[in-house]
This record gives sequence, C-alpha cells and structure tokens, in this order.
Amino acid sequence: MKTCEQIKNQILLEDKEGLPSEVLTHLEYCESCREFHGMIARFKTSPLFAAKDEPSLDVLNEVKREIRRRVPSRSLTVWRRWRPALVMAASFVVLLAFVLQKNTPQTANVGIVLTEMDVLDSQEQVANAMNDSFSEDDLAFNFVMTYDGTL
Amino acid sequence: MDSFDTDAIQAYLAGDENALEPLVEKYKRPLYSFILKMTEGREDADEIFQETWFRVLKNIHKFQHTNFLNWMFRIAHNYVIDRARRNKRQVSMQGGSYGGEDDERTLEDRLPASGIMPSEEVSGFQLGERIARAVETLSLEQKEVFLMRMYSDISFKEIAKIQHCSINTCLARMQYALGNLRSMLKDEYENL
Repeated sequence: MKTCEQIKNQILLEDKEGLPSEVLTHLEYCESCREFHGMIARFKTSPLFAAKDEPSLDVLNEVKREIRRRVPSRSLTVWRRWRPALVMAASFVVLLAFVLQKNTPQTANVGIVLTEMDVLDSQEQVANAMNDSFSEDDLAFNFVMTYDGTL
Repeated sequence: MDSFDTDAIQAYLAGDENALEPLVEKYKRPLYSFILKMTEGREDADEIFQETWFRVLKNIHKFQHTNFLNWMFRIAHNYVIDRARRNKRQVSMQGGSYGGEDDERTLEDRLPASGIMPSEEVSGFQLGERIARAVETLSLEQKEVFLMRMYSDISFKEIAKIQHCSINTCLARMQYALGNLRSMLKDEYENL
C-alpha cells in the first residue's frame, strides 16, 4: 500500500501513457491526492501560467545576427565530422612510433651482449677442445717448448 | 528528439545560416519566461537570453541531448548561477551595498519581495501579477523545478541532473512549490 506522498510523486511523474491503475484506484477514495492531481492539471492548462514573455526586439535581432555570423563553414563541418577518426588515427601512429622507438634499441643491446658472451664462451670452448684433442705427451712437449723459466 | 530541431541543427552545421532562426522563434517564449522569472528584471533577462544563445552557438556542434529546449534551460541555469555568484562577490567587495556609491538601497531592498503584501492585495493587483508574485516567493530551487515543468516537458530526471540532486529531491521541491502556490493563491484558485 503506497502512501499519499508516493502517490503524489507518481502523479508528478505521469507520462503520456497516463497514470498506473493503482494510482487511479487511490484517487477514487483519497480526496487530498485527487485535489493534488486536479491542481497540476489546472496549473498546466491555465493561460496565466503559460510562457508569454518575450525578449526585446533588439536582443532577438542581435541573436539572429550572431547566428548568421557564426554559421560553420562547410569545410569546418567536414573537418568536425572526421575529426574523431583523424585524432584516433594520429594517436595510433604516435603510439606505434613510440613503441617501435622504445623497443628497437633494447633488442639491439640485448643482441650485442649476447654476442659478446657467445664470443667468450666460444673462446673457452675452443681452448677446451684443443686441450682435449692433444695427448699428454703433446702437452708436455708444448709446455717445454713454450716454457720461459717462470712458473 | 524533435526531428524539426535535429534537422534545423544539422542544416545549420552544414552551413545554412538561416536554419536556426525558426528555433529562436519557437523557443523564445519558454526560455525567456523561465529566465525572466529566475532573475530580477527584463534588462538582466535580455542579457542572459542573449548569452544563453551565444553559448548554444559556441557548443552547438557538441549537441547530443534529446531535447534542444532542455539543453538551453541547462545552459541558462548554469549562466544564472555563475552570474549570481559573480554578483555576490561584487556585493561583498562593495561592503554590502548592491549598486555602488550612488545607490543607497541595500541588497535586501533589491531582492524580490518575500510575500504578497497586504497593501498590494488592497490595491487590487491583476491575477497574473498575483501569480507572478506568488511564484517569486518560492525558493530558488522550488521555483526552478516549477518553471521548468510549466514551460517545457523536461523530465524530473533531467531536472535532477541540472540541479545536481536526486529525482526524489526534485519531486519534493515540486510538491512544496505546488503546495505553497495553492495556499498563497487560495482566493484566486477557482479563477485560474
């Protein structure tokens, strides 16, 4: 059961489809709400509440002159219509350029570091491979031949 | 949205300089009547009406509302509030006097009357004048809701957005406004 306050709110919110049936039922027995409903109708239809004031002729003419003066040019209209798409495309290009610029040098640096490590690794591997391929006699001979007297 | 309004706006944006004139004519009364009752006189109302239209023109390419008149009401509302704030600052800077050195009237003297004076009742004002006076006595928020509802089909949802409050607050303001007007105009009610 709705209160009179709620019913009055529903009366105020009345749209083109009219009042809901529960409001109509309420209006049948509630004089206060019935009077409220009648008052709104009376105020809305009264010529005394109608909008009949007008601005001065000077102001009206000034507004109309300004409307003509500020009419957007056709090219501006086309620009405005395409502006969101152009802004998005430009933003995408800038973003793409930023991402590419940011990523490319990093990749190069990593590449260089890896190459250096590879080089170091391969030097050791070559030395190990060489040592592995010589017999102990060969190594002893090599030592004697390259010995400069210091240990 | 009214297709007549949409077509007019689209035509204007496409370069037809006369396209908006029908809208000026169509909405001049509701907009001006609203502004006039929210301000203190025709001079102010004329200025606000003109400025409202200038702001409309400045932002017309952004117009995406469902109702052109509602949009203009919103712009007018914002301008009235801005203007009132500016005037309030001016008043405080002028040490309480509203109109400068030559004007000895205080702000209180210049504000709308707070009720229907008995002497006025005796002198026999026209009914329309009495109603205007009665509307004047409403609080700014109540008056605004009441006038917007009277002069356009603006929804309470839209008014709530304009006034930055809930729909229930707007409904309550409307109920108070109607109740106050009903009691103030009790003698004239049958003649409305």
